[in-house]
Amino acid sequence: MAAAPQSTGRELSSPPTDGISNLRFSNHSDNLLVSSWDKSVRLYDASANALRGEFMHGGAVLDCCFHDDSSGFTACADHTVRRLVFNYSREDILGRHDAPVRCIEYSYATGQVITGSWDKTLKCWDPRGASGQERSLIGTYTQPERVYSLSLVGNRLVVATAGRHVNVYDLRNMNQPEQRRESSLKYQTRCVRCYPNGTGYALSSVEGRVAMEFFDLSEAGQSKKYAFKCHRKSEAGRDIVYPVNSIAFHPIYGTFATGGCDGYVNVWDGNNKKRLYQYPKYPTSIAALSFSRDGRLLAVASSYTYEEGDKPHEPDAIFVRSVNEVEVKPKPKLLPNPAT
Amino acid sequence: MLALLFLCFIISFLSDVYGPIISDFRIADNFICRYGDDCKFLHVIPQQSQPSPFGFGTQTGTQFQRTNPQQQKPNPFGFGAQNNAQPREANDFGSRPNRFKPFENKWTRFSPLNTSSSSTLRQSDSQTPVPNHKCTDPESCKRQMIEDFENERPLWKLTCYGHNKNGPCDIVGDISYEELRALAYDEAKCGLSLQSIIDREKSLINSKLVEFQSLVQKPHAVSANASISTQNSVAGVSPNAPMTIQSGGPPPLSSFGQFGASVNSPGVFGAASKVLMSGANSALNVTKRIKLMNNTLSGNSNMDNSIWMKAEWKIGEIREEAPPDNCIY
Repeated sequence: MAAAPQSTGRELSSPPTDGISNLRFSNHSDNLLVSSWDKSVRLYDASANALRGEFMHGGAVLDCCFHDDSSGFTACADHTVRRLVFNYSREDILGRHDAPVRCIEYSYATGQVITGSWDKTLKCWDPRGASGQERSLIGTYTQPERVYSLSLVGNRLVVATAGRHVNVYDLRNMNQPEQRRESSLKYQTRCVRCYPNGTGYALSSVEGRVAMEFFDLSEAGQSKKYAFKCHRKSEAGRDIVYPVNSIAFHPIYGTFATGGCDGYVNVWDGNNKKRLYQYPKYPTSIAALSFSRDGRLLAVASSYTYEEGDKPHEPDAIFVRSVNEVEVKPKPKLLPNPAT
Repeated sequence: MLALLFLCFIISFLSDVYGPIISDFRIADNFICRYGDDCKFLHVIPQQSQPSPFGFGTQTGTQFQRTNPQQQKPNPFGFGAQNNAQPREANDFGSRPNRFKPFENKWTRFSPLNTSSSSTLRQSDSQTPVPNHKCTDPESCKRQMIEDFENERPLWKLTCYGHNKNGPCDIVGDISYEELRALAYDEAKCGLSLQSIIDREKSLINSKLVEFQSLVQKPHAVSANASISTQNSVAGVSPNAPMTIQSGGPPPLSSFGQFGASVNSPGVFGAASKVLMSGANSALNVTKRIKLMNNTLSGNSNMDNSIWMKAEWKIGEIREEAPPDNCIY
């Protein structure tokens, strides 16, 4: 049933029956892949608001990603890494970790699947050919702590772990990290996302802050970095500080949206250091965000993330909203006429 | 001369778009415009009401618009080296204070516009060129921590913490809410009672809060512990090895309710959850209660004692060292 789009966007029908861990738009269409704590991975056509397919796994699915428009990969709490082929409803296990697999990414640059797990390792997999760990595992790379978030851009991989560690890898040489860093925020890391232009990454934490970091370790490069507060509410003289769960970059403008446990989605212009827009509040915490490949749609997972333990909460829902240019386009900088 | 004229024009236009210009800009005292009142530019005196752009006349207006698309560099793929974070007008007119210092965070929560009031951001928001905190003086470390805990205590309690940005953690052994949730789901599936799941989580939170308390009291003692506890930390959590911490007394009330293992039976747990307390406010009360708790929690509260409680060990879990005394019956 397609209700008229409200201020929150159109709500997708047949959402998962438990928390949503992540959602992703395809790079080729408006297909949306959604992973959930109800052990399912669902494929929606976001424009048509239709559920196209569903896979059930052995445990909560903590992350998912597309390969191409007809296949994808999932990271599961039952320690497995799976490949899914949507049209044929086929799935097989690519391999396993020793603990729940928390993040998964597919690298177009190297054709590899990269997974991060709470077993403190990163694994790279070759998804072609036969499955089974012996054939598909390319390498295992130990991390200082449990992996919480991963992001790829070009040949670079950024891994954020517990204990505020951040490792930056060059995918062409995974033997050791290109850079070992600590987060410049003070509390636990939630999410890390690379800038689409490949010059750095944004990192968010549980303390209502986002840090903008750069790969260039020179003085000039590091002088650009900064952090800002967001997703906080002032009450009785002090702040309620909400975790920032998700960051999503707009593919065209390079501005980015953040979603927090306060139920708000904000859009920021990192260059000009301004907030461009704040969407109306969603029913509960924002668990995940994703822009479509052309930036016209924003999928928002409004799904309580248990940051306050169990409490009565709104049902888990996915909203797909049309993005207006004014919400995401950086404002032009005003410059003087050159003197004639 | 021409530069000053352009200055007037810029100020007016910008003040119209962005709000009041920084108040301490001054036109040079000896500047007298030769056109007087016939000048096509507005002679703006700052801090007064905003002139309308129509005073510029079409010629200027067109000029400005022509400039605009040239200078604006739409950055196709996000930001970074190409776009200087500083707006250029600040560089060209030295007397005008730069509103966008590189480290200065001018975010305001509710407005997309940067107004001059943004320079009066809260004390805790100072990201102006404050040098990174150096741990030379335990008192300043302590002050930093107290300030952090006072102003910016996150909602999520099971976090790590480092008072030094880009420095190692002072408190390790953080747990993400997904890990806690996964553990709770698994335990519920194994048949553990709701109450025991809740109790375990509460004691986790309490011991973490105690860690924060003792950090503030003894900032540098903890940094020594941090390296020890990294080895014993609650890392490598798998759902089969819950991280219970032995606490001395009954766990005080906390805001953490149970995790509804709603995968299996949403109805039962959903109803039960409403009975249990919830809400972030009670977390503040926990801090006070912790002080009343008996202090039997040792410094090594990070040690994973739950491994000794297990009925069965899987391969690889068998410990080589003797169990600690408090695990021996």
